[in-house]
Amino acid sequence: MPFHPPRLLLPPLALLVAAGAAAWTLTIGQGSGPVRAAAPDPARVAEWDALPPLYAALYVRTEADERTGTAQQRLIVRCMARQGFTYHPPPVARAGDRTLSRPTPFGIEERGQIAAMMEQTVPAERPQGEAYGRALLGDPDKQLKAATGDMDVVVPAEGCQAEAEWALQGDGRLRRLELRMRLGEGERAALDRLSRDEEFDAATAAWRACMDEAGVTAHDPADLLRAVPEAERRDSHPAIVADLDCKARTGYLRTAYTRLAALQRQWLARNPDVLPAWNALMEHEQRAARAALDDPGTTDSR
Amino acid sequence: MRPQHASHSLRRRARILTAAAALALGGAAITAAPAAAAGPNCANGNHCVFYTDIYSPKHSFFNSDHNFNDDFFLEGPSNQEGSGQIVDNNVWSASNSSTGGYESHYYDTYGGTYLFCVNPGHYANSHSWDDAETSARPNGGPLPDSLRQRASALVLRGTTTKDCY
Repeated sequence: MPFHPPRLLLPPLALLVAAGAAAWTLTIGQGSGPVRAAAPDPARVAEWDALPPLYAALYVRTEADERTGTAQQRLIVRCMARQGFTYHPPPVARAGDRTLSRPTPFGIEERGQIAAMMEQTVPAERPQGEAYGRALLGDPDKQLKAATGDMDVVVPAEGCQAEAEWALQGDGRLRRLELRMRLGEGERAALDRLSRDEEFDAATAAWRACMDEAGVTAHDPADLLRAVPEAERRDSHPAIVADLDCKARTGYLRTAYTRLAALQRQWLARNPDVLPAWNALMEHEQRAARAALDDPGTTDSR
Repeated sequence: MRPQHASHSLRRRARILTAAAALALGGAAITAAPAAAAGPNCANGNHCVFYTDIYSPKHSFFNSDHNFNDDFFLEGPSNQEGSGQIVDNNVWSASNSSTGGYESHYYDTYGGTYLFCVNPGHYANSHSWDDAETSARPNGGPLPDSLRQRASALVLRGTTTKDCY
């Protein structure tokens, strides 16, 4: 999608409201220099429970989800141990972890977001032998596929990873993938309609006008982020500071998420079977996870 | 629109079906897939991105990569379209052969817009078999167009939310 690289101009930016604001020269490619003054409180997305319904269903991590992740890992550890391998599970994300991946179609939403995201690292993959890989991921000639009109996902039929998924998801394993893909269709359909939504268009235009006053040209917040070179992409970058300031001034995120939520609700109303079926499978998985964790045979050998 | 490669349809691999029967379920096809692409097409411990399908030029990661603009599709068949091309904004499908239980999280920009994630052992879009329904796409289809050719960064994560494919 075409975008216009931000144009950062002299003289001082009107958005710097705190005392000590001073003029500076900003050019893409040069260092961003010190931030002279704090921007007003950025508009934050409302609390988690106000997320659009598809995002709330898919991207909010609950304690039950945490238990499911823990149960899955213990099942794999146990399965691998039976075959003589030591499996080292990665960290299980905690409930309420705000740094987890979720779509942010409107770019940066709060101060410090980039730094928080960049802190999330895990060690590189360890080299493992072929036998280990076979034990974990199964015979590569045995795969299963779930498909919708839009995409498909291929998964191992055997191996400890697959066995853990079978244990928790049962016969619903492939159905779960199918439903995830259907929900993905809903995510995309709502975003597509949003791009033609008048209220959202007006909000984006107001944001653009605010950014223009600040001397930054960008088509929309996602484009703005793409235009900031990776080496310079930090929360203190003047363009990103301006972005958050303009979002606060125009109420952009509130409008954007309100419209997106309405469009996602419309999709759910047109496809009423999908979310209830997904929730039913989630509940089944959570019950199975609880049983697996209560089972004395499922030892935590980490 | 990136064309499918007719030459792939000439490559007939042994089709080994598992015992599971093909099911039709609410418009989705859940079938047992034949000889697949796991080990040979994405080595154990790697997270792979493909120029088109799972038999096309690819690039493998064993660690997070914050910027695909210095990565190129140099693995896999060197005589096919896509070989040598840059990975940035050019990923058509993705697979995960993690041996560490890591999910592959793909971003439009590192530090910014999240796109999708792939569970350990899973492949998002790309498979090939002789199937009347998919004969027009002999090697499977690409990611949906809002996810396709947008990835610019990969972050390896532990066990996170339920949204991964």
